[in-house]
Amino acid sequence: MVATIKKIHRHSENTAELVIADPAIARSARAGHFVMIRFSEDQPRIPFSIVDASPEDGTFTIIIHKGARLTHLINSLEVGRELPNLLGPLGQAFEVANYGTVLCIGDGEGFVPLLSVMHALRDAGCRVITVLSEFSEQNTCLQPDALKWSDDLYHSSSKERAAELIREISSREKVDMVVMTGPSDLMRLLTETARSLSIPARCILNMIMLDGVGICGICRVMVGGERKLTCIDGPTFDAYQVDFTQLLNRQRNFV
Amino acid sequence: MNAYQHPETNPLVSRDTRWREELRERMSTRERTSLPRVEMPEIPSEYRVKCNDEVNQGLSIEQAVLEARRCLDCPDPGCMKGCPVANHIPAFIKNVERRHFAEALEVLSLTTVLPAVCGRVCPQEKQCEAGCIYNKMKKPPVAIGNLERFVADFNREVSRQEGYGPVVPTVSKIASPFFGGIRIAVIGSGPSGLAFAGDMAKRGYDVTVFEALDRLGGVLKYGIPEFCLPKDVVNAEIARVAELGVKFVKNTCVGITMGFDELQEQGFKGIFIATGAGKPRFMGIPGENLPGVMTANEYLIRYNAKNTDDIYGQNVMTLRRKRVAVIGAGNTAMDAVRAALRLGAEKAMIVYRRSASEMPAREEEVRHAREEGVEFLTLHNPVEYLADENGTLCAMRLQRMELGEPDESGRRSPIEIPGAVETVDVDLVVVCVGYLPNPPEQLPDQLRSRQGKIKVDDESGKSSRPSIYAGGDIVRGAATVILAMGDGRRAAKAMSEAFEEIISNTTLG
Repeated sequence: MVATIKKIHRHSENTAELVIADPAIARSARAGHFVMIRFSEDQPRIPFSIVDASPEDGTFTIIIHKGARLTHLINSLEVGRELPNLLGPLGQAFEVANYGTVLCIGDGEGFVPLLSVMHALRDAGCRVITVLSEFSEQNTCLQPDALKWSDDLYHSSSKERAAELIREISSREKVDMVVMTGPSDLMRLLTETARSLSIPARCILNMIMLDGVGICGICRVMVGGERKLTCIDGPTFDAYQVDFTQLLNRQRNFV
Repeated sequence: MNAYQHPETNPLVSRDTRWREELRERMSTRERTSLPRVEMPEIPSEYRVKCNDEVNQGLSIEQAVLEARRCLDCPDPGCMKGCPVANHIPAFIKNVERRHFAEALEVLSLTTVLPAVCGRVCPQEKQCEAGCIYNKMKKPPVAIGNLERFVADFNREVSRQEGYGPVVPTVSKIASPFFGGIRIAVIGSGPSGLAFAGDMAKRGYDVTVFEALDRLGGVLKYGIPEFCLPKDVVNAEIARVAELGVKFVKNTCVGITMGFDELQEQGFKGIFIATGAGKPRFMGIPGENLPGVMTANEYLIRYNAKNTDDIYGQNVMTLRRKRVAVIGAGNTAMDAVRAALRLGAEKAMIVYRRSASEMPAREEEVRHAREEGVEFLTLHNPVEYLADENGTLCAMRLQRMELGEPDESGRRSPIEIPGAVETVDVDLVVVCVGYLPNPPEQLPDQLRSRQGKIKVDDESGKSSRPSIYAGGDIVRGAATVILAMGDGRRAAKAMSEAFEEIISNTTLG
């Protein structure tokens, strides 16, 4: 059975939410998983975080952003379109447990991978506090989604402000974990902040990959001194262990 | 016809048929051995580095027949002993000699599903051709690989062209429909999976091949470039496997998209795991994560996909660099360094820690690389990659080596020459120092070895789970296409015999 686009919800000209019918993926998707999709033969295979999945309906949801030359793609998609090149769910699922209070931070553009994790953490009984960085001003449309799984929602307008918010919030209440995603320089700063406050931190990396199953090696990253592949060992890692400086140097070539 | 089980009674295979005897009598041994080996026509090196055309052009009909005459049709052929899939080599060659090319393919198809591929990428000089009687006469062996390739290519061309009569019955299906109700799952569509699937389908089983990627063929597609192995050739061979009734399911990663228990729920009674060794290895030296250092897989996947420079964003590291160094000297390394020349590199280097005679690549690949202008920095071992002020690769530090005593691989081991380190400017480094296995997720732990390989019985390919077999690089670590195919064939034999035994031991009531 070929996967098809069942619904398209256009949040804005920059962002579209796609509901895709694929019972096998819907059944086995967990928080933190991603899929590889090639929308047409002349396009590369692109990883997308799975935002939500419904085993009952046999569907799962992804969010596509403008950027990575996908503007044209967003406009060209239509309901009923078949997706012959779809592979997933890939990666290691986020380890979900009742951690207590979890602070979820992401930049608007890169916030998408957090949505499924917030949902799962909430279901597991965590108190979820969200910091939505909107310094790219593109993604206010994600706010309703974020709000759905948040007990509290903060906004920040810069990297520095996001880091400050960790300090402010943790001075008011005990924060048991920080989960972050977004650009690597943001994550490096947030990780240092969390480390200085001794709050455990997880990061969800966002990398280019060709195959998604451990062959090309583009998504390699040093974690605790070991070379890991984001596609099969990640995309979630212990943020304390990730060599963000090296990652930033590598990623300059893949933006 | 039950040729599959008893090839010696097959009139196309048996050495004792009238036509074979007549053929042997037609020329004396002396006449045959006085013929020089027919050289494979090649595109000139100065032209071929400017395009992606296949370098070897293939033998013409007359060249093939001439080369086939050199074969002495030995009663105890040494060539067959060297072939991992036990191709009936003299039988197919003698069919070429009598110009029965369709029958030649029929003979090959008894034992191999990928003759056009193996005729191109097998290391014949270490296998069939190494066992040829000509070696004992100090003469070049019969060009078995070139002939195998000719037979496959000729028949493919015949069936492609319309109006050439009926399509040649390329693969003979022999088994009864008795096993048609038994569903078999194959994980991975590379050479081992294809060989296994083909053999099981010939025996009548209902076979489905699951492939994680969006194209079939495994390493034959993503790894080996067009100028060594055209994609059309691979597709045609896969189409022949499909003609046997094998079903292919792409974009399905068993262990992720569907679990092993799910396979069993769907009624699959036997599973063959052939997921290969595609995970790149690194040397663990400083600078391997710099922009400008990439794996051979990344390099070749992007090279094979052509337009990836455009589609991975503006800042993507282009493959078109002036000075390219490939680390390692296996077949993949040769493919990568030759691809670099085709992408316009002014300086394309192989960096290898041992000497030229220890290089694991096929002789032909090394010769082609030399002809095309590749520089060989043998007895050099990279110890560090250096970055410029922008953090991008600009040079590599190479330790000079010398050869010492043979190591466990039987090759003389490389030893550092103290203090002999030099710096070589380079724009792109392609790391090609071996591969690690890609075991499927959810694989029961008891099947795995510590290196991530799957533990199986050497002869049968059977794991400690009776329903799970494995073969190819997932068992061996990175090896060759033909060894992977040999594993697939042996596993198919063992698995089908296991089913036959169960059935023969079953009584009603």
